[in-house]
Amino acid sequence: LKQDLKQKIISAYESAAPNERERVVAACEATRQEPAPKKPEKARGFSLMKLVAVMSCLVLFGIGILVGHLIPAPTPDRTAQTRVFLDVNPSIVLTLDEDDRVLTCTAENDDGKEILEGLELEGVALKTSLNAIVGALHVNGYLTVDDSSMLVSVENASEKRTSEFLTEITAEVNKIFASSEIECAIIAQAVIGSKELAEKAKANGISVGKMRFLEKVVDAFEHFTSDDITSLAALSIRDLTLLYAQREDVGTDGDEIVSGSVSATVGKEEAVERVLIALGRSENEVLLNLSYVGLSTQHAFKVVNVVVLMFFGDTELSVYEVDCVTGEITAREAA
Amino acid sequence: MGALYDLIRTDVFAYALSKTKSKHDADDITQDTFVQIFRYAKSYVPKGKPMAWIVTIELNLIRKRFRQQERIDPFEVELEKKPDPTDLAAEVVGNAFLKELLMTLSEREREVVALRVVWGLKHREIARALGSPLATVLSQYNRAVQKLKRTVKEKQL
Repeated sequence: LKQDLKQKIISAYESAAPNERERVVAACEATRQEPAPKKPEKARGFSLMKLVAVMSCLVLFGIGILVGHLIPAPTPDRTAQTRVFLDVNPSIVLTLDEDDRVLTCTAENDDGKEILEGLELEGVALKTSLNAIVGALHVNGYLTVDDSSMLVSVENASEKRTSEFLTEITAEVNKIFASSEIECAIIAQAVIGSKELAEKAKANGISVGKMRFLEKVVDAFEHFTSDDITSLAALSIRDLTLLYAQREDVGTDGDEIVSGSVSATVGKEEAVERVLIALGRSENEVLLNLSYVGLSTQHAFKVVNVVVLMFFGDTELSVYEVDCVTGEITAREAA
Repeated sequence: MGALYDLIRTDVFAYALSKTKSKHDADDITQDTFVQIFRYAKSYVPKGKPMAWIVTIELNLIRKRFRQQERIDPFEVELEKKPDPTDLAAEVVGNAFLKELLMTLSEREREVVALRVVWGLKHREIARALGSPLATVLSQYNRAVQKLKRTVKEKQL
């Protein structure tokens, strides 16, 4: 947040906040005089209202039992064959039956709830549901320039079917993006559900799909360990895709489809170049280059190029952070 | 209590206004919050930052007020009802930016912005106080900032 906008917000509230110091202090003082609140006395004796309430409950309970016996519970004839996780930041999970129709559609976080408000997708075909969800995401301000990545994760017992789903969903979502003129990257991945993965996802407050993706990010970079998962969990899908795109081994697994541009506008090499230009130094003056892509210490939970250089004749490392999108350079304290 | 009031009155008011969108309600909640702090200060057991404790007190008062007014619980459902722009303008007269902030951002976005910018709480602390995942808080904060930047640019505030 730019400093001037931050200052604007503070000033706006400051100017609107009343200064009623004396009134508040007086109100506080007045509480000293108040007697301790008495516990409400229990009502004694017979209460007709209570009796009526108890009798009503018993009658309803009896009717419930009777109805339960007379009308057999419907046996579900459809079972979940597939789970599809959609993560932008809103996290949404669809379970599908064998005809690829939605059995359940649930939000995994508050943003997801906002998206699903008013959408009734049960029994609806997957393609139609995707249309509705992507449309709602767009309308609600997601999938914009600043939030332009989507993670699609699919879980199905059959490896072949999972692979087909990944292809179909990516194609369908891309089609929707194209028709809505949304420029968005998609990472589609297969997920093998397990109790452990579900527990980790729950502990970090994210979907199983995003959790699996975080594991892949940690595996792809030497400088990340499982201890970094909590910090990485806070990253947006866009930042995670930016990060993931800069891994050394860029080949994708068979269980993963990357669609659209997820590479950083400013990569590691360009970041070093920009820092050298800003410093008025040349590459020949660099004794050591330890640059990497990592998390910013200047901005909360942001992926940046961390440019770490030592020049000939220097005794300390020069450390800079270069924004992956804008190329903006910020200096860090010397390491 | 006077010194504490001087120190955090804007913080407490900003949070109340961000939740209620009513200056009248925010004024009352601000006063009630200080009275509650005064009343329960002795029983306060330090656990983390005292600001988080104050947020909790204020949240409870806001909830209570919503219940009293028989409004929808703002913590369960985002309030759909938009205030009358003329009322709002009158309440925050002379502060076009604040009016735009209240009108443009959703309730949760206003809440996160107030806690982050005015209170100075970290994203993690906000997530803990609101019981939301950190990623959600970050997303809401970033969206709010983008919206505000756009508004400031478009309306030249």
